[in-house]
Amino acid sequence: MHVDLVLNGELTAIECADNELILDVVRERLGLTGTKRSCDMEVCGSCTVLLDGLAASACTTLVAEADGKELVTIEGLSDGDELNPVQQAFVDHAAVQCGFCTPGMIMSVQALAMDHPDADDETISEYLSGTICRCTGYVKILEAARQVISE
Amino acid sequence: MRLPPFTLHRPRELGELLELLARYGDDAAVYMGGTELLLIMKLGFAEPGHLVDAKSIPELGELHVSADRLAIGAGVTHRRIERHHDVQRALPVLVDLERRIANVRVRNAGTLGGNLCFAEPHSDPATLLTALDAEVELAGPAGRRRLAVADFILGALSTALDPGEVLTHVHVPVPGPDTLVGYERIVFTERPAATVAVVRGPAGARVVVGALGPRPMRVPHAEMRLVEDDIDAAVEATSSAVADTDTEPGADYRAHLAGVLLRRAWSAATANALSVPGAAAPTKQG
Amino acid sequence: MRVAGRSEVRLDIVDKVTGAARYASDAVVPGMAHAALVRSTVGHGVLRGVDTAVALAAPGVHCVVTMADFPDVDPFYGEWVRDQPFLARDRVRFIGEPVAGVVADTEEHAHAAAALVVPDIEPLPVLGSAVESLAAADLVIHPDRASEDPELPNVCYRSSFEYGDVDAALAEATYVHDATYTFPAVYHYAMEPHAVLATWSSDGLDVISGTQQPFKVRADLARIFNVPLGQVRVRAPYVGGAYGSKGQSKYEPVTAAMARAAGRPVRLVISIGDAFHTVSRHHATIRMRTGIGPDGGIVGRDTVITYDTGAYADKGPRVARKGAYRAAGPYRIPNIRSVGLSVYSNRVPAGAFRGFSTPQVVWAGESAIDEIARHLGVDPLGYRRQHLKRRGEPFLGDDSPLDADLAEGLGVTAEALGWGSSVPTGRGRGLAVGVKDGGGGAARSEAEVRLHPDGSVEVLAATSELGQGAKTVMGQIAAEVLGCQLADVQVRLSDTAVTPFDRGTNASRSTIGVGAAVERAAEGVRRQVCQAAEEVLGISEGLILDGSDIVVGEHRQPLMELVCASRKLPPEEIGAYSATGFSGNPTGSGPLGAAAAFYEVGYSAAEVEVDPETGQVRISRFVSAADVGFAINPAACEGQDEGATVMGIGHTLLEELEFVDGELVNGTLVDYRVPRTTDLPDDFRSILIQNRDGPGPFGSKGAGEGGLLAVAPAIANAIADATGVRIRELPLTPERVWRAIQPVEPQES
Repeated sequence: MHVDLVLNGELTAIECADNELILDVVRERLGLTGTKRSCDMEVCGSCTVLLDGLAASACTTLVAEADGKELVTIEGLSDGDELNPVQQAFVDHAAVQCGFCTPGMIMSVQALAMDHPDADDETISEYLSGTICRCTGYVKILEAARQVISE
Repeated sequence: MRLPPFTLHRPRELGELLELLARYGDDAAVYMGGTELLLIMKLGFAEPGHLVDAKSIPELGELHVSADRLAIGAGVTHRRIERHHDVQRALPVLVDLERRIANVRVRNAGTLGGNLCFAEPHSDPATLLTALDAEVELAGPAGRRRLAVADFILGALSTALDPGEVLTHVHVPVPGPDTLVGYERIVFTERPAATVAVVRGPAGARVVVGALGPRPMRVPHAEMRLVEDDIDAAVEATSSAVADTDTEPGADYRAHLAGVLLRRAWSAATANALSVPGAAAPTKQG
Repeated sequence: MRVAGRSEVRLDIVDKVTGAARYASDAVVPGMAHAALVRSTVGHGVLRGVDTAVALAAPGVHCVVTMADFPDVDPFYGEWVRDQPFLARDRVRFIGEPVAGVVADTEEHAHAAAALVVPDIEPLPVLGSAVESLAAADLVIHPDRASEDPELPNVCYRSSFEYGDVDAALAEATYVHDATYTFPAVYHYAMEPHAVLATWSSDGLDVISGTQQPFKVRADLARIFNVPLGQVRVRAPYVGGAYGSKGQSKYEPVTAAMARAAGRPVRLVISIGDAFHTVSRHHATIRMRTGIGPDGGIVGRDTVITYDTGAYADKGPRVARKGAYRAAGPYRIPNIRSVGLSVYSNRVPAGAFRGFSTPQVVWAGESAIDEIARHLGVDPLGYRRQHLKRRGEPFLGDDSPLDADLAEGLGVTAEALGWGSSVPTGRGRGLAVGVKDGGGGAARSEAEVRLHPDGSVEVLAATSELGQGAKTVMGQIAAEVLGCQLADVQVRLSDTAVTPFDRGTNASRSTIGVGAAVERAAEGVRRQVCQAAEEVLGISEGLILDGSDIVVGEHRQPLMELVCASRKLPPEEIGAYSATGFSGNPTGSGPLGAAAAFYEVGYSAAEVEVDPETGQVRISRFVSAADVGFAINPAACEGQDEGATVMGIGHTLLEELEFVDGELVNGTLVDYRVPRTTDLPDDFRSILIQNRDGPGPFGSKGAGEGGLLAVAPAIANAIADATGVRIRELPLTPERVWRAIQPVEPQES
């Protein structure tokens, strides 16, 4: 099938089979390997991308769903060397260790900031409870998220 | 994990969708959010050759809130319900439930109708909607029909959908100000370990336990006790009902949990009622 | 200090927040094919053959291999006990064991063909746990291996330590506390599953793998395929979490074998479901008897630990040995006997996991001490402080003297929790201390530092960047010693062809081992620069590097000019200053064969609230303290401590691999819950204790495991404080807690 979308700000046309998932296509066909595959069951959040501004599990979303929509992966957040505020907050708070959850976590915080611009601590924690990090213990990730919300 | 091959169809009208279902029979599956369907396909538990995407059918994307009912199209996502101001006003307990389903990504894509059709035994909405006497509207080769959610979910991953039939709407009665509604869940892993919904209105009571059996279970004995305003007895009846049906190790704990959740759902329901002027207040609290 | 001791921005962080960081699962080379493994669905059986014909004819398939295709190789690996073939040979011993491999043009084709391979397995009775294995005299999981004890043929390894006369001490004790504790098998869940890319060429074998131990893997591959070490290259790019699960060989041998058979580069990326079936932390049963004298002193401790090592040894023997040693605990106990058993079963193999044998024995030891204090009617903090070993006393036997003030550290932790102040109603408090000999025993670490004439620095060190921040810390050490800016330092990731030898990234050893080697290498480079400055300028004291310049006192000039002048060569011909450094030759003897390099100490203090209706435990407050000697990067140290603590909360409250007849029944993230944001303590504090008393650069010690060691007993002790009920089985699930706090045994329904 033919899918037209705006991928990280660029009009993009993709020829793909009906059964292809966003995760496979961005990683293997488009070389955007920042989106990570972990649980592969829409539980861990490491493959989170934004589809028309909404957080989506790329592991369980058909490429067909992106037709006519805007898809943003981690590679689309920064503007050249300029980090976006969420990325910068993760840097400021050392909220990264192995980094494998990081792209999905950053996309989740980006979605959080759009969904709940005035989120309190409980909302932040609840929202991010669907995204797993095994390294950091979340403390610095939550600090980074709070910084993003407070800005 | 990859998906097995299939052809994706995107009908624009319900009639077209039904034609596709009729044409491909068992080899077709209705595809909405895909949060459950695509997952079981990836795991190899289902391999339909045709997915019929119902999201672009305008009728299925509608969400109407009137004074006495919600009409939720099968394509309406959890997210839309969760963030819908009229639903929040009419049935806050549903919004509260929707907010807790799975994770934000699943709620963004998944639909209430899809959730019911999947009939996963740990479904939150199935428990509450059974208690609210909600109905599903189905369309198929033989026309349209309505079924109570309680009659629609037959067992684990099993519904009363006939071949070629599709769920089009979920109809939820909006409880009046004289009706108390409560819902509680407890989660230990990814899905709820137990859920309980309670409804108490002028016409009677509903107590429904979810996640502890293949489908939501009504507990008539507990309902009778609630009608008598005896929450303690209702809690006991709920625990007994679970203990009678659950034969796996640890059943006593789950039976106890069901009772605890009923008591908590009831207190939440009465607390909500007390905060709404003119709403019913319980005559006796547990 | 200019650079060390500061929370410098991690050198890898921009790569990681932008998605540019490459992991082994992202690696691609031209002509690469994809692999999938066929795994046993039988827990124990005789492998009579594998029918590969149909799979071989499937679309896109290059080859299908079984062990029969490799008659020339020695397929076994494992630490101390080499018993695991990279593909099953004549037996299968756990569900999930690889029996065949498929190489195809795409991952999709490889997986589709793998489903068509038919192993012919004659089932044998399954030994579903160590308990069953110990009881089975006739059914032997490794019949071709002689057991040390013919009565116990399924014992993989036995280790014991004995000091004094425990039997006499316990016989004379006024009170003997005797309890059995269990610790669950748990899964690492490194978020990146194992991934390997192997290429054979005239240069030999080139492997890209997310491994913690590239040199260990290199040695395994060289031995298995009979290739010289110099012709095996193992590279570890960024590793997406490890925690022990990516040590020694895992999927490198089988991937190299498939690449050899296919005659092209092959990449294998397993799923998380398969990673669940790769390695786990040992389930352990710990029986501990502790004798108390008339004055309350501890007169003897007798411990038997049974570690369920699953189907293959992996690192199980070493786990049993270290666990037995560490079971002695950090208290003054004159009479000690510890026995550690590593026992085979038909479960997923168990191996290294952060803390390496220690969380299990600390769980028992620190629960027992609390129980004893409560029995004696004394404050658990005071009792511990009274009997903890002092700084300078050996941990056990003639091992290194303790390099920490345990009583003081525990006091700091307790004070931060508010120990002694009134406890809010319905809550309870508990604390615990865990001590582990750090560094993993004797091993050499080497490093090289290069200073280029433009002032840029390269550090070649084989520490895998697992997330712990090694890249940054190595850079900070080099920058501090050289007197340059961190921004001018490039730290290369592990590559056995480029970075000098290191045993591996495990046992909290990188900072003190590789870090010390980097420090010495940087000192060597600095000596060369200073020598040149002396020759050319006549001074070198206080020399620092500022970008491409050197600065000595008031004098500033390009480094390039100094080198040219010193070497009497034109700029394009001058080369670089470089030096190597090493550390870690064995010192002393010690009960473990070499003296402990340092002691990794973790203190935990918890305040909890138990829901009496559901048994759910909420951690209202938690304090963790890590004795890191000196924090070269404090934010990274905190991050390690926070992460270790939360991982500890996982095995304490949530995590347990459930096996039924050897079959793992909750091996998905839907059924196996690791901690989420909502599982964090309401109030969580991490303290770094820094006395600059470690053997690493600037007085640092290793870190990263300590935070995990004492979490479980601290929480269980707090639950006991809140409810009066002692639970000796982890995890402390709501159901388990609820059952424990019921006033009477619930009636059978």
